[in-house]
Amino acid sequence: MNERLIQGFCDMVRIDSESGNEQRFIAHIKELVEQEFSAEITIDAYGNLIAHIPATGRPDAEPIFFGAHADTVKPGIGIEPIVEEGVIRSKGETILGADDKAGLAAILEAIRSADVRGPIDLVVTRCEETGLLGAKNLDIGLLRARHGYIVDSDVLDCVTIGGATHASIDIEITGKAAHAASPEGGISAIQSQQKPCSRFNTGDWTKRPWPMWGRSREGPTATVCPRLPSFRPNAEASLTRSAWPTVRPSDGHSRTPLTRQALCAGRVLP
Amino acid sequence: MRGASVTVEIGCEAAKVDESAPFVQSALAAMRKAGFESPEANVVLCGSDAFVLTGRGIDTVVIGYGGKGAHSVDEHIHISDLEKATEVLRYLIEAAGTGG
Repeated sequence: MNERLIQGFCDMVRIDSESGNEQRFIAHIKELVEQEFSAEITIDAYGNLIAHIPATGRPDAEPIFFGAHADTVKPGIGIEPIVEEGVIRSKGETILGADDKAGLAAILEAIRSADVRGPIDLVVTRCEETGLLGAKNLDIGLLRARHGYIVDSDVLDCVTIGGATHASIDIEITGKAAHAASPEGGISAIQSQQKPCSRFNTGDWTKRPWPMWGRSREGPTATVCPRLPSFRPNAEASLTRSAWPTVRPSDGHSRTPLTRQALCAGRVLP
Repeated sequence: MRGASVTVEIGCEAAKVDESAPFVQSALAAMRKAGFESPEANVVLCGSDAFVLTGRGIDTVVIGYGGKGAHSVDEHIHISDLEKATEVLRYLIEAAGTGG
């Protein structure tokens, strides 16, 4: 068992770094990498860390980069790692933060233990969990490498080479309320939202767009034809470049709920 | 007032790196050296910093650290998986450092 690796990981998860509050964690990584690897480190305008780790072998080898994100989802305050029977978990009231501090711990330990290394860029981003914001705002001019690896997956024998477009779609439909005695005058918000939703594709998402629904907001239930509910997908829509937008059914357990809020405005009348 | 509104936010554009790219093949080779018999390249639905960076001109792929149950209080990681992830990365670093 690699005690240095385990201790390094446990030290990391004990530093709170929920999305938006990564500063203390990034300062910890900056100090560690500066001291251990004599790296030149820059914190860019968004707060991402970029480290130039010098080569021990061929200095003219092509630089590569390794990256991980600093932030965690909630609940990520006061994480206490428990090591038991070959497994590391939290005490049970918080996440563990292996996503993605295990990735970072593995990167650093691999750099330490490699017999030889070329020039390596280390990238630690902020706010991955809240919309990939660190990567979107990363000062890529600070990178020497033109290609690299993000260590952020639960699968050890796959190289993920690509991903689908993600679009969040917020649909608000307001109908016309009607009493059960005379429903013909009403316009049901539920039926209205079913019409466009029924046109969405299903099937193998790698070949065509895949719809995914999320939760709908609660609306009044006293009338037969509810004026509400509005429908807000708490989920993702997958687009291929050649396809039209769809939404995909969700099991309600969105991994990154904060990405589901729509920003752009448009009005469509039935 | 009755009616409908639709708002759309593009969170992340689709991105894909060529599977035959040397740095992708290096990662697969590192996985084989670490004992994985049939590592493979895949594409996923979920978002990643990697796809943003690829879209910005820095070709980037995702490899694993081996944890389970992310985003839940059941999140955990087997030490053997963390060590295996480290081993893959070490092989990748050494290959790049020797120009392999």
